[in-house]
Amino acid sequence: MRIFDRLEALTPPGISPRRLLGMLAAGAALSVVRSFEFLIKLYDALRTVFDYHPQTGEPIIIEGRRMPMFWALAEQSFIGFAIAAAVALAFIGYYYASYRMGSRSIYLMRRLPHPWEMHKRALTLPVMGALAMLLLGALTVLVYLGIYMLVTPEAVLTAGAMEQLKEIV
Amino acid sequence: MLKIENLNKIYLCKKALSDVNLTFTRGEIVGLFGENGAGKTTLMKCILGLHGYTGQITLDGEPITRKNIDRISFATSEHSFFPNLTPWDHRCFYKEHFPHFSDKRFEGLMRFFGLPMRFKPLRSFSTGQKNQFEVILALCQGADYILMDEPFAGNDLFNREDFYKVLLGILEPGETVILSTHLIEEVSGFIGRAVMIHEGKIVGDVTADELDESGKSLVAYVKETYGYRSDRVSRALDDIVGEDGE
Amino acid sequence: MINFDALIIEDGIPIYLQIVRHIKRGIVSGVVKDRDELPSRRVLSAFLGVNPNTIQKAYRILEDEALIESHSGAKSYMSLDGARIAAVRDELVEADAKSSVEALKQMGVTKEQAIALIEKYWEE
Repeated sequence: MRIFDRLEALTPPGISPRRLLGMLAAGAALSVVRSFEFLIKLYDALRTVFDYHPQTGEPIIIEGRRMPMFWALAEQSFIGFAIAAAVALAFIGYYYASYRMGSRSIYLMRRLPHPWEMHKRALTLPVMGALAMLLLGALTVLVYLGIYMLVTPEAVLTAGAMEQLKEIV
Repeated sequence: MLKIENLNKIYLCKKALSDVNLTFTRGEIVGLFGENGAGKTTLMKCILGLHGYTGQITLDGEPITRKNIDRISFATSEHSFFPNLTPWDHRCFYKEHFPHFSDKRFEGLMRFFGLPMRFKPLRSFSTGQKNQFEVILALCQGADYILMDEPFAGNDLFNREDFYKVLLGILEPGETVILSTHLIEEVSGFIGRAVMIHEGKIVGDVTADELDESGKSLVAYVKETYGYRSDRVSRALDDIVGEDGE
Repeated sequence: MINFDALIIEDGIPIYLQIVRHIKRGIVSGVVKDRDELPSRRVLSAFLGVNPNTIQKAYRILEDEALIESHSGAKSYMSLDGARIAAVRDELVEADAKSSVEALKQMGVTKEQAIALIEKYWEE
């Protein structure tokens, strides 16, 4: 468990990083699951702009129908990542408080020759965890954006929308 | 030399320390006496930089910063160890942060007090054991000035006496101990100097030599310094009994 | 090695004097002999739970009285001969007699009564 030992050097002594790591894993999983909502909405939106040819069953675009823009469709589908990031940041408070729990190890931490040790152990993992959540969120958005652009015919988009999306990507 | 000059500390609009001037030299064993709230703890925390203050505290002429802070160690009755770590883990942590940490002394003291080195986290120790371990860490950090704030609250007498003896046996001539305690009688032979603090002011500072010459015992000196009125108890009793009796 | 097991520190008397007295009593009773080794200052300090300066002070007094010999950094030894032992004995006897007389005086005992008391208990 080399990596785990390394991580333990980044949390307050005696406080296992397990809880934070568990939270991040669960947060990531739940956030990804939550984001599936977007796919369902996308599917529903597509159905409203298409109709099926009564004989051949081929999809036809219904005249005048427009797809909602990506963001309008997404609404709160990606909020899980933001929440997970916020919870990761809340661990900062917990880690700082741990220097006063059960004893006053804060006195030791504050008189260490290495000035940043106390903060390093309180900030590193929560900040990195929060960044990882946001990164994962951004990645998910990009993937869904790609899917959105792939499955949506340009004809049902408002003028210039596709150019805007391409610019984001 | 640890020098404190014109130290003032205001705490919640109250003067916690006023015009403290003290000098501690290498090898001294100093008792710091005073009632609860007199400023013993505050003084130590100022030295360690855990409190802000006005005035000057210097270590061999240098202000106390991250560069020389490892020359001062601190054992407190509030405990500054990590409750979830074992003694062994503490040793690793201290060795990483304090280059002069004494392994030999650590092992010797752990064995002397019969404390378990591995597998048991500090939080499962008894209060007495916790105190012992807190003091062991302060002694093993490799500091020249060892500050101890009421370190034996909750240890029995035999335990404390053992500690004084061990301490005298292991201390190097250059190591200074500053011990704040209210167990004046108990440490009177152990210390070489007594400093008294009252309402944030230094009200007495005397060496064992001076006491020997004056023929006074430490307890007598302390009572005198504080203006302790020996008739207080009998007068109070008179008042109580007088009122009740009639 | 001189034994300090029997030395129990009392209140009220400077500790260094108690250490000096313990050794002197040992000399008079014959327990402490010429060339006996004294514990190092640190060891005795730890054994008694007494500040090393106090031990140092006691040893210095004994050195000044030429009862012990220490060479810098080395061990300390008793340095006794007949004359020194006799001198220590006289000193202790005198001190004890003096304090007994003082105690008796304090209780209002007259000189004659004191002599009578001594004679009575001398025989027992």
